[in-house]
Amino acid sequence: MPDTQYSEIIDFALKREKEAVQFYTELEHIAQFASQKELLGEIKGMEQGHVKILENLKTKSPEAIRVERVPNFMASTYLVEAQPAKDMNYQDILIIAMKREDRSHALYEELLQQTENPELRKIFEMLAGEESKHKRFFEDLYDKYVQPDN
Amino acid sequence: MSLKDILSPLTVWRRTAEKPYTVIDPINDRPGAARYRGFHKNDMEACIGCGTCETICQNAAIDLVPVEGIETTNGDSGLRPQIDYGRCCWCALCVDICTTSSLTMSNEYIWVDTDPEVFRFVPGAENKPWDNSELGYSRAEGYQLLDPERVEMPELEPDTRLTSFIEMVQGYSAEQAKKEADRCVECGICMAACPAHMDIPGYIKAIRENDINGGLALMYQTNPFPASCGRICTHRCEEVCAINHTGDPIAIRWLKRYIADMADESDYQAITKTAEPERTEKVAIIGAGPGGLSAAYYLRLLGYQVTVFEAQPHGGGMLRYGIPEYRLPYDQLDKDIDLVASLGVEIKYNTRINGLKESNGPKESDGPGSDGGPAPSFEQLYQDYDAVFFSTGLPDPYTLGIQGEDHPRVISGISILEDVTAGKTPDLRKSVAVVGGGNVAMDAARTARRMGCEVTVLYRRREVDMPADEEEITEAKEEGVKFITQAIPVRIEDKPEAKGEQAAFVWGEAEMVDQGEDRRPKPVLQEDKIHTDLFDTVVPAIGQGSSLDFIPEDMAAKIGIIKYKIKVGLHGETGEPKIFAGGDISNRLKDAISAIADGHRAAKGIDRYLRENQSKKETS
Repeated sequence: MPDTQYSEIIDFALKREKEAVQFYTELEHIAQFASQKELLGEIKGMEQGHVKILENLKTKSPEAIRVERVPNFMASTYLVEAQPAKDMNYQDILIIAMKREDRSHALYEELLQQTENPELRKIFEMLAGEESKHKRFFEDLYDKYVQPDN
Repeated sequence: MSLKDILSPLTVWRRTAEKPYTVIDPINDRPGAARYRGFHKNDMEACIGCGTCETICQNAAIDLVPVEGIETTNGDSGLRPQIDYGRCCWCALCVDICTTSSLTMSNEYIWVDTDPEVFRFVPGAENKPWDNSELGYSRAEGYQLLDPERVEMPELEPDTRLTSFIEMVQGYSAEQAKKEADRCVECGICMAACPAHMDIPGYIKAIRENDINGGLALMYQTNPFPASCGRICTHRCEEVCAINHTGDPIAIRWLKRYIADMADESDYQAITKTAEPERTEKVAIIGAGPGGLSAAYYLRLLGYQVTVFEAQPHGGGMLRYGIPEYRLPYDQLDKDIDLVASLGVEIKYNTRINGLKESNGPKESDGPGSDGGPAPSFEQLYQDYDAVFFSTGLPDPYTLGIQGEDHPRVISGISILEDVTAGKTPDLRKSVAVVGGGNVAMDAARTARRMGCEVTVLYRRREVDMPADEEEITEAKEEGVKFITQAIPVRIEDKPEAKGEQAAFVWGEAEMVDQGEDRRPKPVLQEDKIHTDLFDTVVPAIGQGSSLDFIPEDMAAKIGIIKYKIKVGLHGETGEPKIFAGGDISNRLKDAISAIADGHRAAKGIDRYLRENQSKKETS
């Protein structure tokens, strides 16, 4: 795989993660209460961490990429998208985060299906895996704190 | 000298041709009898270090000692019996009383050593030749020094229960309470498990000695809600009760209730009076739930001027607005609250603190305790008081988050319970689906049954995973609540023929996926196994969240909020020295007794903070 192609894909993923950072920054501005801002700040920090990971990947060769997949438990599949609002609660924020990760995961899965190139596939698999891990993290929080009785 | 005298010694030589009378190899040739009471063995894994063996030993031969590799855990003191064979009389009472049956005796009786210290040893801690001996003394099957069976609590029959909200548990008589108290071995393992560390063996002993006021005084040392906790406590103490290993755990909660019921209300103040002088410092408390009132009680005992601000017209928090009267009658809750108020704690009801700079008026102006004046903001309390404690609980119900949940026939479990407390009749109609498996779900389901509804509980996981108390689940079943487990909510639909009068609840069957040890299995929706059921009302009861909107942003940054919870230290300290917090907004257990314990600890923290402040002022 040409280096430029590899770099382009990582740049694409980077752009998405930076958009996510920007998204949560905007949500922080919309949020009215300190408890919302604290959580949004934490999620934003995680997205910034993802940006750093991807930036580090740019300096690595595609062969060094490790693919990690986590099973999809569909915990957020049937949840309704929450809208950013100044009075959003813990549940709303987690749903927003899960749905975002879900969409990113679906995008990389789609890209994975569209290519036969094994190296490209590996990168998309890695990116899809990362997004599913993030989604799973939020799903676990949702399970533990939002619906402990369900 | 006769000839006999000369020959007699020679007759001894005859013996040389006979078989020996002594045992040549006594260790191998003369084992102890099958049930001989020889050296002790102890199953270190089964033993919980309750110390009952030490207590019963008539020769003071047993001490409980720390042992390397054995940690103190919930339900295990981390100690193990050490036996002094210079004192032991091998009576085996220790084996007979052992609450876990871990202590037994081998049939070995020979142990030779030149060091006398080795004969004070901890069975099971080091390898001994008799460790694997199958023979020796153990308690015979069916033989019990302790009574393994709990005194049954009289309760209303399920059919009778459903006719009203009258309390279903009727309480022990004096005879029953004493009989149950007699089962306690006073090991104290329960005290460590109780979040408030109540002196449980102490007040159970008081029942045995018919010293009700003494028992009540002991309870008030760590818990100012004995009448309430005697009914609805999550009784973590009973889970670790030593007797639970071979029989029914002691009914600690019911014994607590017995004392609270028996103590004369007129004696309460005398029992709980304080000798502390009045102090001038003022403490504001937000929330008159168990956490807030517990802090108020202990601060008042220390002499502080305490004001409690409560948004609702009555105190008790979730004890009143989240627990139905058939489990906790309001007069019993009021008994606990009245005692706190009677000490001089001012409780301002109908006073909702808000985080805005400008004060808003009270939400309701005619409730008890309301002075009709403006409700202060959090910042005002911070300015006007020497310390602030807040314990505002988890009042906001989370939704199912699925499509169609805005259907008019969807009502949250908490709002049903609140309505009933407020004397309103929730519009439930006939068929009700309650979604969730916690105590709120069970209470909502059982409340609906008392209102004549047919109730089905749907829960995502298995029954064994339900967070509700086991007895709540059992009682719900007795009362005719149906259960569908491994049912994942998918969406709520409005069937045209139902015209908004019924909700179609769509749910799918779950497959449980193991998540490894100590983690609940994950329910995963099987999309090919979807069901639709029509209900008059769908009641989500899956969890609740905090409402911290009253804390201004600049102050919240100092206090420290993580994932909608307040980060606190051991004594409820937040990042802002003057502000303390506790209860469901900060702790993990989210039950009344934990909130009570938090309130007590915070009172100590506030006391220390204010005394240090005073010292600083005096020295400067």
